Amino acid sequence: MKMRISILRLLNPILFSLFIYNCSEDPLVSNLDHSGLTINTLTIDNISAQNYSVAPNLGTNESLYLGTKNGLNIPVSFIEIANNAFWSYGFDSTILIDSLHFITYSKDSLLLQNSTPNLFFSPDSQFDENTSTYLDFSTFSNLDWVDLDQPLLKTNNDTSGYYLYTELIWGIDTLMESLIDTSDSNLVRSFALQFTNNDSNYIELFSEEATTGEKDPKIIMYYRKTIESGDSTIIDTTSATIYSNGDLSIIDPGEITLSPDVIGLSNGKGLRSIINIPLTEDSLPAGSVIRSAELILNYDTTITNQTYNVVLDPIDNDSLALDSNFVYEFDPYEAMGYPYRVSTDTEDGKCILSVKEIMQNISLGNVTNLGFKLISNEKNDPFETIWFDTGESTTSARLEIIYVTN
Amino acid sequence: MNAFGIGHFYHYQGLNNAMDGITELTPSFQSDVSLSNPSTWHNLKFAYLSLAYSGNENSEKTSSLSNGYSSLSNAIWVVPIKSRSSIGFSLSPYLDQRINLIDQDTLSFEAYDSTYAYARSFDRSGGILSFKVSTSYKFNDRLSLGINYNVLFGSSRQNESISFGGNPVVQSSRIKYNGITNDVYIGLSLLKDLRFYAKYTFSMKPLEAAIEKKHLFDDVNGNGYHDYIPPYYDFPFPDSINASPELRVSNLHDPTGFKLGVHKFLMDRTAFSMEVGRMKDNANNENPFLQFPMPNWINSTNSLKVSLLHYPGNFSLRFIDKLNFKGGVTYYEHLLKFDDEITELGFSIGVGFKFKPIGNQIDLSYYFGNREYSNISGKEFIQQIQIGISLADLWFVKRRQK
Repeated sequence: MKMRISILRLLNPILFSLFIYNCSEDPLVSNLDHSGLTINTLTIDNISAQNYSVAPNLGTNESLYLGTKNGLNIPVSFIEIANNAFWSYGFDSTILIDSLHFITYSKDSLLLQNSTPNLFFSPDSQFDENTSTYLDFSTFSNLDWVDLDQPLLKTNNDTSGYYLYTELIWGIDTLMESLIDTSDSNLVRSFALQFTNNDSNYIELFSEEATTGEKDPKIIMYYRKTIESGDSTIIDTTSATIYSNGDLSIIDPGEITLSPDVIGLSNGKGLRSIINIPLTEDSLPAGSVIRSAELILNYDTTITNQTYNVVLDPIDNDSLALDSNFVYEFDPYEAMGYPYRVSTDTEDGKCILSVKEIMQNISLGNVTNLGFKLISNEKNDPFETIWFDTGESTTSARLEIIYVTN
Repeated sequence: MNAFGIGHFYHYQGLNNAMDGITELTPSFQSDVSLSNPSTWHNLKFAYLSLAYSGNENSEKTSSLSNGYSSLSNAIWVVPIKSRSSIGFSLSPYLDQRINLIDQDTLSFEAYDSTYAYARSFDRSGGILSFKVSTSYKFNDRLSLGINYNVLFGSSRQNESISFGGNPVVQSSRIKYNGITNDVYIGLSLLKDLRFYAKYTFSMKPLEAAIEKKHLFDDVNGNGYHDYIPPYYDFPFPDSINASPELRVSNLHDPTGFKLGVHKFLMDRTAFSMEVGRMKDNANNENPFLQFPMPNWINSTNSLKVSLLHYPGNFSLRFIDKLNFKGGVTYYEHLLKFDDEITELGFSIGVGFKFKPIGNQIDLSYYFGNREYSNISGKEFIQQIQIGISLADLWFVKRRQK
């Protein structure tokens, strides 16, 4: 036993040194020119494109428009006020509604009373924020609506006296019964803004998408509430805010003239494009991986000189015979969306879209290349149009791919 | 060759195990037993379980390259059967495939009005193991025979990458190996103190490989694996690609050769032994994928080993008589397939300590080698330290109840 313990004592440091032996692996510097991996490029410039038009819908825009600008006419804007528990105050014997104000907001410090639109009311559903277009209102008339006249203007400044915003305030006390009408099970509190004179006025207001309530179109209900507390009676004078739950500017693009060598994008005109990039499963060597793939579109900065956000989305349905002169009620093309949808801001006459993900999957055979839908981001100014060159010139659209192959 | 990062065969890297020292055929573990030579196993009095662990360092002086690692170098279990035959099983590494190369220059290429700098690298890990089933039979006091049935198996994983624009694009591959080689051993005692040994090696199934090349990927998260650990997803998404069909390549390693050994007692417990051998690899190795990064391999090897051995006394109680000393010199001459040549001169010393009457033994050995390459000016130095422990016991013997 003594011998065994002494042996273990002898072995311990040896075993320890072996087990903690510091494995090291210094890389050898060598010439790897015979490596199978190489970097290559592929340029595709025979890209074709075609415009098509979809009746514009500005339901998600952060502004409400009215009037005429850049050749586009917005005859009417709609606002729908939400159902709310405050409407039941009209039947509460302890509450006395003093007044109702319909308010919208503008950032125009020069707004004049005579440049403001009239407000109209209808107790029926008049529009769908997401789908209604000018095609639905070709025969629109406000004759059946209640005319609430023009608003009062209230300019708001900060404590230093700098301009903040202007409130357009309509007194709508006369609508009290209509707004709280419980006999109407389908009551929809629809309001419309329209210029009643034929002046080419133009006004831009905040829509409900612009802020989180602060500058949304709204109705403010001023009321007094009687509170019995023991022997005493307290009258509380206060207000409640009821926000809009939908608004929409109806925009009429009119006639659009298109050139075959350019493609245009415009939210206001409903202008969209289809792009065909001839990349197939065989365009790249099998097993290649794309490091970068940039679709480069050039535009005329003299026409579009502000930043414009462009969206490219691969098409998911079979191609159809596209009629560029026809205005589609809905977009005839379904798009794939995430993760292949990409967007970018234009800059210095170029729109560079990174299409690496979709191009890699096309080359892998995972996705069929049915073309791409090029659209304007819904947040873009609807009165701006961007025109891309797609002709034979050196500034026409091209796809530049850098890939690694084995 | 590991200092240069291109892997090596373990049987050309120092000692096979600490118990046998520099030699393979001639007895060194005991006066009549070599654990590497099955034709001597029937001389064991007990069954042995023997393990050897080694630490290796290969260095290249002129370029300060140094590669080191430690691993199990041999595990063997031998059961003698009635002093006439034996059976044994062993597991040991056969081929180390660790490779780590980087490009000597940062290169550049131009694309779309931009200049990109890029660098390439290559690393491979893994290797091949050898599982041996061995047996021996003693025909008479002069002649004995041993056979190894040697199953080669294992896998390696390699990454070839090209880095530019921030992160590397990686080509991962996995190679699975299998093959069978056999060794036939003969032990011959012509005189009392003079024994001859021979070994003949041949391939029953030359080594073959199944190569699975994965799709190239952009290693965005830089961990060398094609994965999707958020927030950085490798590109393309791993689920979106398929590996190439498995490619089978045969005849990668097809060794044939012989070795002769002579063992002569100089004194009662001191012996001299010498082994000469020649091994040839008949492999085709034509697949360019496996030739990368070096399209050359060992085609034939001539070896010479000389050893001086001092065995422990069987019954002495003196400490010094329980020690086993072995020292030796080895010389290799490797001819590569395409002209180049590698020579190696190595020295080893080892000491073993025998304890308990049944012959348990602890061995410690050190090897220093010096390799020279015909096409490279620098020398490679190999250092190896091994420790082995061998435990003896009676197996498969019905013991009387106490």
